[in-house]
This record gives sequence, C-alpha cells and structure tokens, in this order.
Amino acid sequence: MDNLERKLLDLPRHKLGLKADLKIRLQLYYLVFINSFNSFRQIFKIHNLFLFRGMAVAVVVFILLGGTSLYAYSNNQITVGSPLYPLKRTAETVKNNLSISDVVKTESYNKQSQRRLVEASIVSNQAQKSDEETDAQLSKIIDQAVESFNKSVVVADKIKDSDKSDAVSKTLKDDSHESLDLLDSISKNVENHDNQELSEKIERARVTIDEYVHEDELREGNGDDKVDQEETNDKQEETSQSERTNKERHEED
Amino acid sequence: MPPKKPNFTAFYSEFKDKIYTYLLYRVGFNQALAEDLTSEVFIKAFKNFSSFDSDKSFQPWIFTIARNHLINHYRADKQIIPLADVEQTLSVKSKDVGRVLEAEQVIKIINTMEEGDKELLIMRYVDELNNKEMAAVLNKEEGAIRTQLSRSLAKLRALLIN
Repeated sequence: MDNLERKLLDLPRHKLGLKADLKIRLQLYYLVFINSFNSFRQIFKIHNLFLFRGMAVAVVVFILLGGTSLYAYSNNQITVGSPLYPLKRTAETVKNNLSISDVVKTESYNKQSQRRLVEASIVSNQAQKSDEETDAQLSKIIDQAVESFNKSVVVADKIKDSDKSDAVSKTLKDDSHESLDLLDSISKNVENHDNQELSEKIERARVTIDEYVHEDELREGNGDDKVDQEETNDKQEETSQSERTNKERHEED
Repeated sequence: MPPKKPNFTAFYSEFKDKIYTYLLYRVGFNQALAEDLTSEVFIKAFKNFSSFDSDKSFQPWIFTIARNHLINHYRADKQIIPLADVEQTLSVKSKDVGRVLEAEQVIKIINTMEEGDKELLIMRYVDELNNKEMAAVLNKEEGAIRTQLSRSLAKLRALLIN
C-alpha cells in the first residue's frame, strides 16, 4: 500500500446526524407497521371467506341447537316419542354434570325425577287404552324417576353442612308430596290398563318416596316401639319377681 | 424450516453511515441532500427487501440501490454541485490541520475526475468495498474492476503531482 492509498484510506468517514437518523427510523417503523397490518389483512382476505362462513355456520348451529334445547328443557309437554325428547335429556345431563355443589346436584336430580313423573302423568293421561308400548314407556319413565329420586337422596346425604342439609331435605320432602300426588294420578290413569306389573311398579315408587317423606315418623315410631318393649320387659320381670316371691312364701308356709 | 430473513432495521443500523458517507462524497458534501438521499435509499431498499437474497451480502445490494438512486437523482436534477462545503465539513470533523489540508486536496482532485474513476475510488477507499463487492455493484467482472481501479489511482497520482 503506497502513500496515496494511505491518504485515500485516511479520508474522513461521516456519520448520519441524529435527527436524520431518527427521521429515517420513524419512516421505516411506520412502513414496518403498515406492512404488518397489510399482511394481517391479507391473511384474513385469503382465509376470511372460509373462516367467516365456518364461523357463521357454527354460530347459527349453536343458536339453533341451544335455543331448541332450552325450549325442550323447559317444556313439560315434550315427552317420550317427541323428536325433541333426546335434546331435553341431553340438556338435563349437561346441567347435572355442570352442577358442582351437592346442594345444586340434589336439586337437579330432584327436579329431574319430578319431570319424569310429570311426563309419565301426561303419557298415562293421553293413553286411554292399554297399550304395550305406552306401558313400557311409562315403566321406563317411572324407573328413571325413581332412579333420579334415589340419586337426589344419596347426594343430599353427602351434604356436610347441617343447615344446608336440613334445608335440602325439607325441599326434597315438600317436592316429594307433589311426586306422590303425581304417582297417584298416574296410578288412577293406568287402572284400566290391567297391567299388574306397571301398577306394582307405580306402587313401589310410591312406597319409596313415601318412606323418605315419613322417614322421621318411622324413626320415631321405631323409637316408641323400643320404649314399649322395654316397659313390657320390665313389667314381665316385675311380675316374674313377684311370682317367685309368692312361691317362696307358699313354700315357707 | 427455511432460515429466517434478517431484520431490515438491523441492516439499516449497520450500513446507514456507509451509505451516507458514500452519498455525501458523491453530492459534493451537501449534508441535507445526502441525508435526504440516504432516507430515500433505505425506504426504497425496505420496499424491495423481499427481492434481497439473504444468502448474499447486504452491502453490495444496498450500494447498488444507492448508486442507482443517485443516477436517477442526477438525471432528474442536473444541477452542478458546488464543493464549497468540503472545507467547512472537513475542518469541523478533524482537528489535525495537516491531514485536513491533505484530505481537502485529495477530495478536490477526486471531484475533478471522471464519474467512473471518482466512484471507484470512493467505494474502494472511503466505503472500503472489496473488488468482488464493487464488481457486484457496478455489474462488472472482478478483473475489470481491478484494472480500472489501478488506472484511476494512476490518474489521481498524476493529478496530485501536477
């Protein structure tokens, strides 16, 4: 490297001023932002048609299905055989599964049991004559009602808080009176069906619910019996004691 | 997975001063004009960044854009650039009087040379591009660049002696 080249390499290098640097950076960042925004828009432009359609269909299906389920769930007239009945049952199952606390679960099962009985009442009322299919449906519904009722009782027993437990069992018992009335009405409706099995099933359901309603009375009754028994035993013992004493006196004489 | 394309702003930070210096020398030390041109060059580069091959060096690519932009600028605006600012710029930047005088003299002579020679000398000795990079920028063979550079140096030497 000769002297001239050294002189040339020694020529000053300049730095871009801070103001100009900032100005260029701002312009570049603005362009970066615009580019990103456009890319984002482009992505949506390319896919949005499918995305939008898919979402719209999903929303419509959700609204229709949700609305219909809600209608089916809240309508007592929808019974076995109705095309909306499976939706009604699904909505109930979903509600049961979503119930977290035992209190809510108990109420949910209890309501489910009552719903079944209302359905059974409607079905039995509509069926004027004996019909195998209707009887089979009634039998199934009553089984389901009893099953739900038993579940509600089992879950109610799990409630540890005594205040809540008392409140829940009071509600259950109050509702059970309605259930018993419904069972009575079903029983009357199926009287002319001459279906012994169904009648027995209704009676068994009635007994199950009735036992729960009169649970306390039965307990008290059992308690009274015990007391009576004890008193009788005491009396018998006293009698036998006095007899033994009399015998001894006779022997002495 | 394809390699991620480098960030343009990182390139800007690395090459802004080189491009500015190149343009400043080429526009007769007109700072305002050099700044404007630098800004335009980088914006143009950003807009065409998708065409940049990340396997290759960024330097020849950005210098090509700067050079073409400068040519377009001269085509559009054929004004003669005065060299009055040179002394002021250099005296401000350096305190070594002897070196400043030498640099002034060299720059003045370079500015009197033909555009081709001037461009080669600035690229090679101010912006420190190697022959390969210069060949890429000027779209010439590396050998041709070497020959032309030695001729330009000889011309400058002769002018300095005179």
